[in-house]
Amino acid sequence: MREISTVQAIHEAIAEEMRRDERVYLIGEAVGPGGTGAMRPPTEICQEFGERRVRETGIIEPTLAASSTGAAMTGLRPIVDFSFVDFMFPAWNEIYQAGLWRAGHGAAEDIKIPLVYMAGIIGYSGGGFSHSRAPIGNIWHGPGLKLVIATTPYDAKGLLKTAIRDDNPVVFLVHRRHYPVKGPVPEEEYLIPFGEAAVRKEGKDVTIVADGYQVTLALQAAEDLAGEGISAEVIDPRTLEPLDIDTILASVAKTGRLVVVDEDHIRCGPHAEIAFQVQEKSFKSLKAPVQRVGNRNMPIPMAQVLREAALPTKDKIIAAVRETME
Amino acid sequence: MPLSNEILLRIYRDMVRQRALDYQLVKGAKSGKMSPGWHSGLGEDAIVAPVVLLREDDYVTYTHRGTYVWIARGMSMKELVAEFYGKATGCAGGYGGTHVAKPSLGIFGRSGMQGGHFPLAVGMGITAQMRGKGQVVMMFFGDGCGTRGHLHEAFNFASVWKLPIIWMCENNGLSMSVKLFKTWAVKNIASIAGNYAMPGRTVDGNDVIAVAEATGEFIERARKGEGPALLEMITYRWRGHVEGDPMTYRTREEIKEWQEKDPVPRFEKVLRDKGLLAEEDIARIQKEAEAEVAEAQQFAEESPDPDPEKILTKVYATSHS
Repeated sequence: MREISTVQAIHEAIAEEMRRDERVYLIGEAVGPGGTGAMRPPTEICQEFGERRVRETGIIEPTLAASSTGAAMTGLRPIVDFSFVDFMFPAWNEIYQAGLWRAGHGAAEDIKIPLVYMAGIIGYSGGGFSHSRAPIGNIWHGPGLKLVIATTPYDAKGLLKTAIRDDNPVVFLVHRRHYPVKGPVPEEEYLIPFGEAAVRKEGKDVTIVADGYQVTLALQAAEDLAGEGISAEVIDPRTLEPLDIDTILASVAKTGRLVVVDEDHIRCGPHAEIAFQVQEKSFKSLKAPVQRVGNRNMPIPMAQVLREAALPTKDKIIAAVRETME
Repeated sequence: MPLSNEILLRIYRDMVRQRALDYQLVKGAKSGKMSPGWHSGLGEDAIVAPVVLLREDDYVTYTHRGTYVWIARGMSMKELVAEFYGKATGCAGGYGGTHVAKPSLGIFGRSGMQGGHFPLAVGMGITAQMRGKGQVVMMFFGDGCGTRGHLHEAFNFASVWKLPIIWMCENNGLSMSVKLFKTWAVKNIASIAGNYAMPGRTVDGNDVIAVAEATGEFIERARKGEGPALLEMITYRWRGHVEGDPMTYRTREEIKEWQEKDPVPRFEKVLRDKGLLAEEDIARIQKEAEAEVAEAQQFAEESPDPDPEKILTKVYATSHS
């Protein structure tokens, strides 16, 4: 099978869905030809669809988020490129609002908000406190939003196409460390349903649930742990909302140990939700307390040694696993 | 756009109807049985006129004083009063309260974060432009929420993209209790229109004909693809920001002064002078409106409560394209 990068897979998904459905359009800061947007489609795509369907804007995050809600409920299907997930912060009210809108109005006449808020997580890149964040918990907290974190080119394409066709607001995240990573992607069309976790590596002693770039770190940790005779299973939820808790529970039933790794803050982070659901539904299968690896509730510093002290690393995952084995 | 006799009479009838509904909601808020916090728009009734001029497939956003939009768009009083009373028969099934929605009439709901409609209207304008059927968006906002940064983003990009949006400023001179001179650096809000390369005009917001004529021109421009425009309507609300507001920020004399500029009798006179309305018509229209309100009130009171078992089914749409 041919191999393409995650970013190429995203461009293919956007172009295919824009060809399939003329209601789909792309909007964002610097998404046009010559733009600097990180996931900006290649010039051919911009030319194919023209300026109205690849709508380039200035710095207007609240309007990116809310205009898309307005367009979605009147019949279009916007894809919003926020570039980096940090730029969702100025639009937080409007992003939450997209999720609140349907039930907030009693789903009157089955009102729908089909849109995608797309962004890259750029942690570990030295952007300092405001260009490094991973507000995964903040997004997951918002009612009415769906949340996808794609970690491979195959997943990025299949999940993004599903997101574009979903009739709800979907936040679609990819970690920048994964942008250039290549992997097999079929030429023919496929979709990946939401709510199906992927077991990235099978194991029998401990379950590591990790999302985004943490999947890569967890797999590296699992490889080192194998050298110590510890067999770790690595699960990538792929979508947090909806969450495939069954795959996680089945794994914990087998291993009896759980480490949750996520780049967001540990305090009220996604770790806590996953750990809680496991103890609630499968308390007796746990042989040890659940461990969490994440941002240590602090603004991310710039210098490499400092940011690695603040964020998850392979070594911290290994330490957490050892903790569960004691 | 010439204002036909039929349109003028419809404007009048809807002004009377929406005023009757507003009075009923004032009573309801006092009764404690309704959703709390009714924001009455009494005194701003002439704003019915622009809504009556819209086409069926146009989009409109409303403020928290939205009776004129709902009534002029053709919503039934029953589904409105029932919504305010939190009943299953309300337009939003009792989930919304003042967050009224009727997508089939181009009413897609309301953000409680004032000014949230500026960017929503931009999106509706994108839909109208992409569809290319000459639809327009009429976005209502007060001088209060006009100070938010959202106005700038929306005004600017609506003009950059020449979106078919008519920005309708209901300038009642008050941001809750704070007077205009404390919240705006300019005296006339319409004067900022030129900075966004669009036409702007200030009219007497209690003069139905002035409001309707100015809106008509702006609608026509927008339909032709000539882009957005800003209309500022100078008006006044008789009641507080919200029912229960002690209104220590203004005098009774000031309110009385504005009540003498009541847009309803003022428009009545115009219609009588044109020979379109006789005394008995006025009495009949008033009686019909009151009967409609009473019927809606009874309908709401007799309607069932919403089913709490169903709350989680509303959060996500289960469909996909």
